[in-house]
Amino acid sequence: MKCEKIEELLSPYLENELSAEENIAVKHHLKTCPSCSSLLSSLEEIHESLTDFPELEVSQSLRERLYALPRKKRKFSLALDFFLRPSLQPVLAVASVFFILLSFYFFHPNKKSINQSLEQQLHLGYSKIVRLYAKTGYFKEDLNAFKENFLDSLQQRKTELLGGNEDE
Amino acid sequence: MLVNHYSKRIFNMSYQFSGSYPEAEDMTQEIFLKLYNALPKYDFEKDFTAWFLTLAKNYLIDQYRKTKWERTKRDDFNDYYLASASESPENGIVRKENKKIIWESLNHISSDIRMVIILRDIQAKKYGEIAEIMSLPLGTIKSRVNRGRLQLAKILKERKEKENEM
Repeated sequence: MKCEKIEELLSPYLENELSAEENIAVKHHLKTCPSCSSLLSSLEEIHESLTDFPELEVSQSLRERLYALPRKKRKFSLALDFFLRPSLQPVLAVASVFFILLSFYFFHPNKKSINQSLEQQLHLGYSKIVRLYAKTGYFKEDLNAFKENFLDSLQQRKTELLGGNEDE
Repeated sequence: MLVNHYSKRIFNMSYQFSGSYPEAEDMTQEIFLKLYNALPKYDFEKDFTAWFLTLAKNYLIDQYRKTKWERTKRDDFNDYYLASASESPENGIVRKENKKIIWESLNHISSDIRMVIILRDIQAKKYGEIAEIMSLPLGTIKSRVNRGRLQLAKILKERKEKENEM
């Protein structure tokens, strides 16, 4: 077997994961190849060194930070959950549109002309409302007149009927 | 409680991966924060430890890729960890040096391979467990472990040769 192939088999060889046939082939190669046997001893050393890798203790400050996390997270998530409620979504959408329009107004280069046209529109609207109010006043008077007529005619009809009965 | 049970494991995993104590502390905090956010999605039929370690692994590798910063220098290891009691003084010095090179070399191998080496050789996990944590087939894990060890051996050989030339 070539050294390249043996290199691939050295790790499983160390972990006894090779078939009997491969195991014999690797052993045979190692006897005759100093380069591969040096690689094998390096791999053994690497495995041993990594097994000895230091295990560190968690510091008290980190432990405290970790204990504090759920509380922080809960506060944050409660606020976030409130704002992300599905029922609030239309409100948020309307608010965003409103703020976009507002930003258009504030940052528009012809803000003055917009102000003028807005004022005009406001005046027009106001005068329309006044006219409408006046119309409702007329309508109310008409209604009152109609009501009085109607009551008078009812009264008249009543006296006619009562007078007829007395005659009989 | 989650912190008592897993903090040491996650902190050590972060330290083994990053090689820096303060970074490992920050990463542990971030991993726990991710855990609290991901808990509602946890499928109770799955093994919790494997699920949590997968989450930690994903975070560590993502973080490494995001920064796009090849950190090759690890914190210095102190003599207490490097010393090996059963060695003769002469052998001990060589072994100590080699151990240091090997531990430092972890940061010279790619993040994916480093992670499987950490899980297999430092944490002594079974190949099946590593496959579950890494969400990869067993064959891929074995080949990555082999590749990682060969890369470390190559680095060790180069460093030794360099020292001999000096």
